[in-house]
Amino acid sequence: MRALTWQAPNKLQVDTVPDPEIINPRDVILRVTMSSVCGSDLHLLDGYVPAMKPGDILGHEFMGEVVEVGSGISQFKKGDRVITISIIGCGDCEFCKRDDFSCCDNSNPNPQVTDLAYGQPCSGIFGYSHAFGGYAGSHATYIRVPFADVNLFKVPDGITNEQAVFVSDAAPTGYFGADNADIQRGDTVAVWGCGGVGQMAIRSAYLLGAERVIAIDRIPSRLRLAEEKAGAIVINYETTNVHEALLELTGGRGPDRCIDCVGMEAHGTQLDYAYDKAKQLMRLHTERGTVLRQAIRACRKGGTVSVLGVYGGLMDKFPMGAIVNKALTLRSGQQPGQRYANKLFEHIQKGELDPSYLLTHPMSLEESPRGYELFKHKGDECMRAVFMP
Amino acid sequence: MTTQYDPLAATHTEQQNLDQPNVQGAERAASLVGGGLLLLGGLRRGGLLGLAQAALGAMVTARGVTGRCKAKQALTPSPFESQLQQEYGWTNAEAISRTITIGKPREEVYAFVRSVENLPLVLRRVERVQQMDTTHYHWIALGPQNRTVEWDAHIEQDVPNEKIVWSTESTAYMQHKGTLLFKDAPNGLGTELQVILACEPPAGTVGYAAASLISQFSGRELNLDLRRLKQLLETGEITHSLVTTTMNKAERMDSPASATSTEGQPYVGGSI
Repeated sequence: MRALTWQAPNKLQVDTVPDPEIINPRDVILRVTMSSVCGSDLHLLDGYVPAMKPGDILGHEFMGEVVEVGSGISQFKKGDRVITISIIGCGDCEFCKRDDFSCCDNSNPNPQVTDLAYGQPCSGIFGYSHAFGGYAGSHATYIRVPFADVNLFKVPDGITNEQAVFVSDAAPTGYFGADNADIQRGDTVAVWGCGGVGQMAIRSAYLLGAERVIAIDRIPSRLRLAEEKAGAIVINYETTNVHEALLELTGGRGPDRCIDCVGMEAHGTQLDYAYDKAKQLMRLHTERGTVLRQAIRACRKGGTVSVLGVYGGLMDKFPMGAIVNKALTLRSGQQPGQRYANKLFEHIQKGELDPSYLLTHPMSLEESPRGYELFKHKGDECMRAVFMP
Repeated sequence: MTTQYDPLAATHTEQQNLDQPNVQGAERAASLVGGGLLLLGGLRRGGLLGLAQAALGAMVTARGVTGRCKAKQALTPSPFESQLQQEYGWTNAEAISRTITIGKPREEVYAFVRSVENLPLVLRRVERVQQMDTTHYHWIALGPQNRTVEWDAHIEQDVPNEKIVWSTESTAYMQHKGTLLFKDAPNGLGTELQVILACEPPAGTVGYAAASLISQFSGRELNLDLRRLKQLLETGEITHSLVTTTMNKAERMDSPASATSTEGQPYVGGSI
């Protein structure tokens, strides 16, 4: 089959690689019909993650058609149109049983890296480095999905592929961030970052009862979409003092809930990497830490800061004082999309959510290196490039 | 009632603080005097060698002044090891302990591991186990450089759903004594399974240091195997990110975080 592979930092190429096979009884093989880029791919691309190996297939946000089913799977059959949640759950461990699928204990076949870096092993993620399991990603003709009974969801009739593909990651991530923010009716919510996840977080905040959502970014096309499609009040941080603007917009109180959809763009911590390498890694990304600091500083007393953006290691100058003295709640996590997929499909069917506008650049798989180029540099008003193998 | 081991005593030296002096009495005095002489001699000698000698002297002096030595600490058995040493009547003990919670009832976890023939499924280095009689087993595994190694072991103690103790025969290559302890996890979370592997290294501190290196290696390995046991018992399968099934056990061992490397082609993201 054909697949987009990582070869070296900023070097991607489309290769012919072996087709995946059913390995375990609960596996399903999909023929990928749509596979989206994601902001979190960018630090894999840039080589900031040491757990990448030449030949690794990228991509974790995707949908497809079932072509082969393992002996332990009865819910799906050949031809089903499905999406996959990008963070893999097993459905059987302590965490999956309480719907915290993204904390799955069993889905990472390579648990020692995160075990050492974070204290406990983290779940597996498609196409997301060997620290998160070394699973082949979805920018390929076919993909093997483990624990398919837990991670696959049939797309209901009346929902287009362009809408459905984002229920794999961007939509549940945004929804999870808003859910974690503990939004009360009438709240003002501030969302940092107007990429795919940010757009979904804005929409989800409204669905969960926010009265106003304020969105912060610097790219005019993204701010325009946040305003027109998601209904946000927008702030361009390149032209406006964000802290002052947020206070002015909230009668001096600060937003009730703050959602960080930017992150630090540095997630890799492989163990054998020496301390100074980690330092170097972080130094490249200190700027990104400003979003979280800004959110903590702006948030009203007793409010909630919900962190979705990818953080990987250690943060310098973390404003713990503001958290303590303003009695803030800090919540975070990778998205447990298995919890939300069917609910999101319902919102789409009722016309309350339409993620399809995120798809600005449909492309063939062969064009995918150019797709990443556009996405990375936000060229041609690219929100999301989506490959159709 | 099964023996309870204090879990805090089970960890090794790197987690222990050097709050308490571990260099005392005559040893401490010797460090002070010897270190001081080295330091002074080094300074008088000058040059690169002199500087090196002075630095060494300073380190030894610091050992004497503070009464703390990290090198010595690393070579000292943990309280847990001393406990095992007494219990087993050994002159020396090197041990590791790892515990995992498995979301299944004690009876189920016990029954699975007591069926020793199941173990090659989860122990990545073990090829197969042959049962000789009800308590004796012949083990065949992959040793260093993927050479086949074999040993015999017998079950010394078997308390259903609570404890299994086994020991290798005295001629064994991988001589060790192992204990499995089964406990109910709190809040209905299943079973806490503790694995203790101990060996009696050859005499003295040097033997201990050598065995210590081995145990650091096998501690991580043991963790990985316990994860596989948990995966299999909880989900019914062992988690894989392999793309194809064509590799044999030895090849998989050699490619820890990579995947199918089929001749001449780039391998595809995956691991075992």
